[in-house]
Amino acid sequence: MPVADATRSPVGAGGRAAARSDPALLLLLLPPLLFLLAFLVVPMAGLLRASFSEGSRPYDVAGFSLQHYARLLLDGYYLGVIGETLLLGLASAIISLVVGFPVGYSLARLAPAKRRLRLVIVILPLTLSLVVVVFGWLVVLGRNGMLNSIMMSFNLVERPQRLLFNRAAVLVVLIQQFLPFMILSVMSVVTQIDPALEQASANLRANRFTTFRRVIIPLAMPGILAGLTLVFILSASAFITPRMVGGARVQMLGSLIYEQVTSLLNWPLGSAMSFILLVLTLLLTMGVNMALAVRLTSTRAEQHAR
Amino acid sequence: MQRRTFLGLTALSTFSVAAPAVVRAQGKRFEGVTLNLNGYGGDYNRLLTEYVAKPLEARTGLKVSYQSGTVQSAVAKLIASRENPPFDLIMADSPNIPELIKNDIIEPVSAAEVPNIRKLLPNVREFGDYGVPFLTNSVILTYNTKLVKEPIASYTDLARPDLKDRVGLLTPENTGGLLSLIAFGESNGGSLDNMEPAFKALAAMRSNISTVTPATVNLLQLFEQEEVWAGPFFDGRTYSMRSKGKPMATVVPKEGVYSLFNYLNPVKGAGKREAMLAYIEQALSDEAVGPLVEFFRYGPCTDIKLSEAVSKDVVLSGATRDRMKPVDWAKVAEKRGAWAEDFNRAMR
Repeated sequence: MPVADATRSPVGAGGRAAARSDPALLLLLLPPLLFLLAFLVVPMAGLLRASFSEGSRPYDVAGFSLQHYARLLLDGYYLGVIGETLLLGLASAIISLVVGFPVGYSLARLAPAKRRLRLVIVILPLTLSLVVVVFGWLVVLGRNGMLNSIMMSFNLVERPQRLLFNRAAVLVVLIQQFLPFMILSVMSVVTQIDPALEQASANLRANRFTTFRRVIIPLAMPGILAGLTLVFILSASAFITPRMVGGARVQMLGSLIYEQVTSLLNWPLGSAMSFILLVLTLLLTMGVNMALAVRLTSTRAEQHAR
Repeated sequence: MQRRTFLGLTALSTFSVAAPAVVRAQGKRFEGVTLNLNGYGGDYNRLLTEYVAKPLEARTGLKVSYQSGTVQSAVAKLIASRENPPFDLIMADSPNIPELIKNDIIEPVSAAEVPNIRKLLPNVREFGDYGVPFLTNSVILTYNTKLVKEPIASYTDLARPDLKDRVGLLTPENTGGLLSLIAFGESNGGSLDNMEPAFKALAAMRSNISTVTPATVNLLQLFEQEEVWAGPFFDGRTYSMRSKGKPMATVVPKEGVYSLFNYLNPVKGAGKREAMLAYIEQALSDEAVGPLVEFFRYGPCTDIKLSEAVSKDVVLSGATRDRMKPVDWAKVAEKRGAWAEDFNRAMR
């Protein structure tokens, strides 16, 4: 048994045993469990039921059929939309990591007093309404917008370019919206890493890159995984951004779910789409988390031992 | 002061404070009643508050609360919570009414209950006694006269080479987009039973389509910031851009005008029927319809007399109502889902 397991197991087992034996702990857990049961499990069970119904209208939730799943999983158009959704979610998560890790790391290494103002700047976009942010981007990326004006003033382009209504525009807006989640996740974990470990690594003649790769990354892995998961899930389920910034050329599953549920009132199909999105994002998140955690946190000795 | 005197004075002062309210309550029919409606938001809510809710409250004591949002989401909320409807009255458009009737969500209203229904123009009640229309929204063609040199006259003009990457469209998820799609279909030889010509026409002009959006305000912004130059749009919204100085023309398409009505519908099981009828009566009055038409330049559904200055900007009023193309909304409601999917496929 690995050392980590040997140290963790008795504590975990003890904790579980305590939870089982202490009625007060169970009582404390009861309100959130009831809340989740009433407002998450029951509505989701209703959605799951609707996704298997035969009809296509809200009042037609009856019978049992796989027609909605078959329609979504056997049709090239819907498969394309699902693929685009997952790819944009992954791209958004990875780019957010590349951009957000240095910011999160540098914030974590600052003194708390200096960190405060910078943290407010990072969090500020989250306080704005998403619709306002998206409409702001429409102005910035428009043909008469700020970015085109800058490019033209530097003679980078001769005439205004269409920067909106494509995948790149959707990706930029998604990253801008969800980057704070990555920065905060990384920062919260890096603040727990003792700087003495980096100094010890330097004393052992490791250069800065090796220290980053062999010390910082493995220790920051919980934050990285949390950030990747959050940004991926938020991006993959986005619907306002692709609808407003992507036009019809960038279609994501979230937009189609919104359209089916609120406009076309085809709740069974919308429910089936929702469950496909839920299952795919869960599977992908679990797979990536497991692969990354194993690959990046195992030491060379453990790899050799395997 | 003696205890008895103190109690007497207290009772007298309490009565003198409370008495006017008691008298008012006896004098006003709906004192203490609040009517919940969905709302289109923005200026629409402002005008309805000013010219429907406030006069009604002054006369009857009825309070009105508007909850802004899309009509589609209001319909979805009502379907989801039939036992405890969030609205007493729902403002919805022609394409939504068959769904509301089919789901048994709204109640009919007769002219005997609302005398102002007699002011409605002939043929505007598309669903018999269901729904009371008060305004007409039409989809026309608009273009930026500063940037588009050759005038646009029909839907087929939107495929012209000079409009490459400059046409903006609403999706069929939006009622305006739905009407545009029907117009594209019928102007290319199709019908409600065969919309294939519409999708073919859209696919053929794909290089001209800069973007499609489900949100009216989104397309409005794109017209205003000159991201798109031309496209089908609501007449009232086009007028509002023009009134702010934007060079946007209103063109009555050669193919005719496709329109929808804004309806008021009492929600089944909401109670407060008398209050709902009073609201509808006020909403059909000249006092309410006049300012709405004057501000938006949407066509009235009543026989209100419009001034020359206003009527010249109204697409459908008086004799010009003949321009309106009839639409079978029950068939549209049945086929809308399939059209939306085909539209998404064609545009992707």
